[in-house]
Amino acid sequence: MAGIGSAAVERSLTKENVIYVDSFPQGMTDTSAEEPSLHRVASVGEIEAGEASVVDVDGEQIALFHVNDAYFALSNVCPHQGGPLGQGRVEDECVYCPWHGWQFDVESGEHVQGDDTVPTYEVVVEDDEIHVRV
Amino acid sequence: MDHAVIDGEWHSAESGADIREYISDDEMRENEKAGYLAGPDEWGPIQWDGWDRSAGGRTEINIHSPDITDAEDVDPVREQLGIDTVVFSPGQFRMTTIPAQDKQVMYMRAFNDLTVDRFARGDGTYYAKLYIFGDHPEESAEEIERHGDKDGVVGAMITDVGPTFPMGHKSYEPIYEAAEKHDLPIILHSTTGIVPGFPIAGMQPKNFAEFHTLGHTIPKMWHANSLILRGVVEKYDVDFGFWEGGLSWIPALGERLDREYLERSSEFADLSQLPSEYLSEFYYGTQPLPEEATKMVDVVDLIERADLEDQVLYCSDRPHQDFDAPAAVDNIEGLTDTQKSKIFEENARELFGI
Repeated sequence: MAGIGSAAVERSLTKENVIYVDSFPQGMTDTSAEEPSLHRVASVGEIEAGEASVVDVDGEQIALFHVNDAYFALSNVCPHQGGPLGQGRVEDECVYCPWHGWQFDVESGEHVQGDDTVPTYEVVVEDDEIHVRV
Repeated sequence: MDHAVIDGEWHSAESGADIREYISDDEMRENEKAGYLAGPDEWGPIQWDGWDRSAGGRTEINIHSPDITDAEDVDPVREQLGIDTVVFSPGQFRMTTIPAQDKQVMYMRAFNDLTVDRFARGDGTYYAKLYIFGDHPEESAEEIERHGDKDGVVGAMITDVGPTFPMGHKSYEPIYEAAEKHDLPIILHSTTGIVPGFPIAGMQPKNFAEFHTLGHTIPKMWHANSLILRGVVEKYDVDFGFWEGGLSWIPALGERLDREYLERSSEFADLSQLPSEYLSEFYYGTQPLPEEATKMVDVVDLIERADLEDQVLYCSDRPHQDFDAPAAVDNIEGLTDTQKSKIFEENARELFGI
């Protein structure tokens, strides 16, 4: 049966999908944080409610969503065919892949109708700075 | 893997106004532009069908992508998707729905002139298929005669939804004679436009999902059944390709055909093998590949059982909303590197001669 090949998915990810947050220069990692796996990716207020930004953390494309006064981090790569989830419409705490409309819960990463799941990342907000644990 | 990626189908996306510019008769062209006192300038002759292809606005791939007016316009997305070579299909293949039947041939000719001018480069990167009408076989054969040997013209696409007859009918013979003469494959492609004939009128679908579930697949079975039963597959040395119907209908039709043949072969043309074996000689576009989520179709097993290793070609179907990225093929577990190389490159080279 068909499965997910990560290399294949990466190849299909188009360059146009990658949006760097202005305040997060490429390669920047907050090494002073107490937990070395936490990476500062944005500041509170930079992402409008209901919107998302795509950040690059050590080569991982991560879509950071601002939904209902909270932030959720998912892989930007749809497990279906590699579509850019960070560009998808958000409704009712779900994101719809703009390529084929696959619907994922932004908190759990689970496909609402199917079995596929998008990797999720813990988000920590401290002092108006948003961090993702990768 | 060391192979190129050839896309067996990327649709051009010209507007009705673009096609009108290629109408050869000056008076007709001006009258069409003027809308015959009844239509705004931006209207074309094709009726809009009203289907929601966007899933309520949640997907963003615009099938009309107005920025695709020349082959090179797809360079950026093609390169981003990792596709090396594109074989274009017509974008406005809903022209079979033009109500004024005396305009259909005129538009077909204009459309093919546009395709040859703008998309059939023959440069190693861009090739194209002509557009032919099932209900205008003589004129369609003329189009193959007119453009069949042009650089970059590697096939002829026929809209398989809506013609009066299934493709085993004798009325299609001029098309098959011309295709054989010019060594061009005939690619069957459905449409979701408004057509009065089989199968849409009888389906009475409530919405796009109810139609689209079957709209591409049912016509494939209708025509393949007819091509085999009436012996076109024996009479003509022509390759047939079935695009955008996926693969899962093939064994269902093969099983039914063989059963009928074994019970009543006298109702079939003289065949030299089982009907299902002809299905193994047709070509098939991959799009849309079976979804993993359905767990209903094992592509690897199907390719083996139906002997399709040399018959299946990768097709993206860009810029349509249900397109498949190359990842759709890459993601299939169990395909060998050799099989992927055939799907991505070698089978397309064989079918299209590129």
